[in-house]
Amino acid sequence: MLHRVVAVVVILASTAGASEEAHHDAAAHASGLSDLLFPTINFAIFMALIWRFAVPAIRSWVRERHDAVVRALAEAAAAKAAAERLRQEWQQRIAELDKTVTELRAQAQRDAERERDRILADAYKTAQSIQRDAERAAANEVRRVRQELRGELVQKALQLAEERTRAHWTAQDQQRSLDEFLKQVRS
Amino acid sequence: MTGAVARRYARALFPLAKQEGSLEPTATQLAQLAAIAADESTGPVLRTPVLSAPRRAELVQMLGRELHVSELVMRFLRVLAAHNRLSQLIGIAAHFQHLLDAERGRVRITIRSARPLEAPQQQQLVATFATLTGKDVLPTAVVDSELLGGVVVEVAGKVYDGSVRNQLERLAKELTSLSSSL
Repeated sequence: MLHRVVAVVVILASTAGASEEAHHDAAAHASGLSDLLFPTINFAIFMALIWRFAVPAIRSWVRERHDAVVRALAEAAAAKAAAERLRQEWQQRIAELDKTVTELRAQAQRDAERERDRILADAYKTAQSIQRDAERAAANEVRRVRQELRGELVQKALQLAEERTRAHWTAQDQQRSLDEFLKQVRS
Repeated sequence: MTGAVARRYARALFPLAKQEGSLEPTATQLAQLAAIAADESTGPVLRTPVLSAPRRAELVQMLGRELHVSELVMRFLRVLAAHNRLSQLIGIAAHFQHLLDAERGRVRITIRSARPLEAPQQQQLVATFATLTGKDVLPTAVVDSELLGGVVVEVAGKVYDGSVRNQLERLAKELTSLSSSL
């Protein structure tokens, strides 16, 4: 906008200059009034053009510039207020830092104690479970071995009885066995 | 244990033999045929299913001639050959004998003992089982040293076990179950 105004002023000024050149020879001898009149008219036209085109643009630019400055000032004030609030907050935090550290330390200690108790309880449960399993396995093993030994004992006893029967079975034994058998069959 | 087929054939033959009055000779001849069928060398020839019907007929013809079997048994053998049932001879003979024993009111018992029984002992057994069954008893004695002592009597598929072996095994079972419950 400002550039357009300047261009118009330059054109008018040159036009006015050219017109003055054209009439220079013819009016070389004109009176002092006419010498003053044309420059005055030219100046008036120049001023009118300036008033008409340049002043609104300048006024608009100045208004925009004013608004921008006002806005920047408001933002700066807001930023300053925020910074102030932040500063106060941090000052408060710094002031409460010792208390917070103490609380955090106490909380951490309580958490650690709770965790220690939980780990100990779990370990105790696991140990009890392992002990129970071991006892059960041992009891089963003892029962199995005992069963095996009894089985072997029974087999040995059977084998011994068989050998003794083969060696010492007499006709009287056979008769007694037969009598017993017949008695059972009859009953 | 005779099969159903063998029992059916034996039951079919029995009334014919009875009608002819030749129950005992027929049973004897069947027992001879069963012995041949059970023999390791001749049995497979009788039992084989690959022989053709004419070859089987020739075979039983020859067999009957050699054993001098009656006409009834010869006809019966031809029927068995025609139906490829010669493999049932052993079962047929056993069931025929069973039917004959029932007809005559007698029962066969097998007496197994670890050592040969003395005659009075066997007579005791025969008398006892005759009383028990109400029939004449035909005993067969078998020596089986594995019994250790005592006797085992088989009567019509039922076993009376009075052997020392059985008593020892029962004792072992009782001891084992007793020890496992402790």
